Amino acid sequence: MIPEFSYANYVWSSYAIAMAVVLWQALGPMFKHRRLLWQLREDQLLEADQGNTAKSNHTREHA
Amino acid sequence: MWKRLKLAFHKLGSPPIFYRFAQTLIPWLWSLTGVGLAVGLYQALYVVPPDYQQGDSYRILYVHVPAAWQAMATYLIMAILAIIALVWRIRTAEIMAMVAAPIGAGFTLICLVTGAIWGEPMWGTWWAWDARLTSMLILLFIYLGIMGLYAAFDDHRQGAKMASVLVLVGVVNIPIIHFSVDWWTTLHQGSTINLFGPSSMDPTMLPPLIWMTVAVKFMFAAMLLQRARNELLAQDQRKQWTKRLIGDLIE
Repeated sequence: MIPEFSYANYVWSSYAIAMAVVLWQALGPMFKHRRLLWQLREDQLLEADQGNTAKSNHTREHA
Repeated sequence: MWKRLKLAFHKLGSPPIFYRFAQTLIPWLWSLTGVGLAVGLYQALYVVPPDYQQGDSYRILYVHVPAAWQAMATYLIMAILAIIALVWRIRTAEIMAMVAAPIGAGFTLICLVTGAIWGEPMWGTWWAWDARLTSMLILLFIYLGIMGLYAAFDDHRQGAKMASVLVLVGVVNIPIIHFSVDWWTTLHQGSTINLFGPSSMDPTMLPPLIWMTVAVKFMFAAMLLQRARNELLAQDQRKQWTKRLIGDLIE
């Protein structure tokens, strides 16, 4: 149930703008954190993969 | 007690400990923010009566004032962190000072925009170059300047050092904002809430303001820790503790 206010447009637009800024400030870093963890995880898996390939090449050369 | 606090403070200087601390605290801070906002918004929109002069337009106060207070409080917190960063060279303090700037800019923006929206029906204008409004706009520019200066350096530590000096220079604007309504004749009203004396605001209108203000404090703390955690992770991505953390996630 939405209350009926005098100056309703002014009141609701203020609350909506404040909410939009807060959501942008709250959700932005949350998504960034997720993206960072994902990117670091990918980098680490890639590094491990490259390490394994290098190791198997080295073993093959010596065999 | 003091020794314990000092030890905890020093421990938080360690990035992995700070990261875990932030990780644990963030959900609690958001939960408290949610409770505060739910109660505050309910009271602000459904419980308190309209003002006899301003009608319902005064309800804008419940977002405008907490945002204004937090914009100034954020700057003071940032200044304290900047001093810690400059004097003791504690990197987590440096990071926290720098990531506080966009949060402060956000609250300043909310304050300015909601103030303009409130001003239009009450003063008949969206904007006036009055001392309070102008000093608040300068605060927004200072925040943006700090963010820009920090981002301009490839070396994060050097950038933080330079931006911390700018933070300390900008502190002068905070008392100007606060006392602007007393020092100059302004369109903006004087203080209606007085912590150390009687407030001129009707007591029935106070509870939602208190709830919203407390909720915004928790919100700020959650946002600060979130951003600091991200910055730490981004800067330390080649460090051993980050690799261990990601290793644990992979497992």
